[in-house]
Amino acid sequence: MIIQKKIEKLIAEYIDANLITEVNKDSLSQIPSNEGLYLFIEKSKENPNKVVYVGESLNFKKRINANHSSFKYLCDKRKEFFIRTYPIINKAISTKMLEILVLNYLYYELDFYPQLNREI
Amino acid sequence: MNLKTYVRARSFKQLIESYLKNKNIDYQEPFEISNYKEIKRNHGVYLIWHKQKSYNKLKDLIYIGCSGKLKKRPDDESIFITKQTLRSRFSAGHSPRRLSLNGNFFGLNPIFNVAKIDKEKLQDNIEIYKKSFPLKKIKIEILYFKNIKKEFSPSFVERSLLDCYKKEFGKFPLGNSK
Repeated sequence: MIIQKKIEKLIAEYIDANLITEVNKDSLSQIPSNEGLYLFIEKSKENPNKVVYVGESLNFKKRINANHSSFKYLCDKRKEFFIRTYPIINKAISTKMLEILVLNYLYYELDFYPQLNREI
Repeated sequence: MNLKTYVRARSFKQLIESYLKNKNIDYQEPFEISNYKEIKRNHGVYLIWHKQKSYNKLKDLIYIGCSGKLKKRPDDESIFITKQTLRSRFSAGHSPRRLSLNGNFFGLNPIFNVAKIDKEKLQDNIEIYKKSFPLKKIKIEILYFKNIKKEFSPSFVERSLLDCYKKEFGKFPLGNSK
């Protein structure tokens, strides 16, 4: 199972699957204003769904823009990638807790550390 | 226990007690912060209490912090643990200083160097900085990690405790501004 699907399985009880969005890096204006978790997913020949960054925000639209350091890094490196957003329903968990839960799950249980996350 | 078990804890008391049972954690009972040399040069999570520790009386818990983050540079696969230990946090004028603007109170001499305080940060948190506590009434309780690369990170424990505190008490501890 690819990492992105595993993350979705882990956080299923906190998010509304109907509100998950997927936006290309060139369509930032389509990003919703909800709060929650987001992933930067790189598309490459070797791995079409490589999670390279896990982030959280109280407002996706405000947070994810051309000045976001990981977004900028991927653009500077001319990477093809897209953004998946997972809005939290009913504030079942804080955005920061959800982010750290996912990062700990990736590192400690799957032995995977997203390329652009700086710390756990 | 898996990570979700901790996220689902029903109360702060239940959560911290489940961490205390974890074999990867060594516990140090609360002691006066003025004896800060008793803090080991290890990583982990610390809780700062005003007066007495009581998991049922959370208003006396005024700060939750941690040391030992797992870091990685974008173009480097190797993962490293930040050097700052719990002990060095108390000699480098870190976050708890925000509880300590007035002399002879928690965080000031002999532990911190006031000149190093970030003036802009002070302005941002001016209401918090107006609070101060007599040093002798401040106690520190510590959860040391035996192995940071096992099971979960200190940041996870810190964040889960903060979230649980907020759920139960309606806001974060006084010294944790976010």
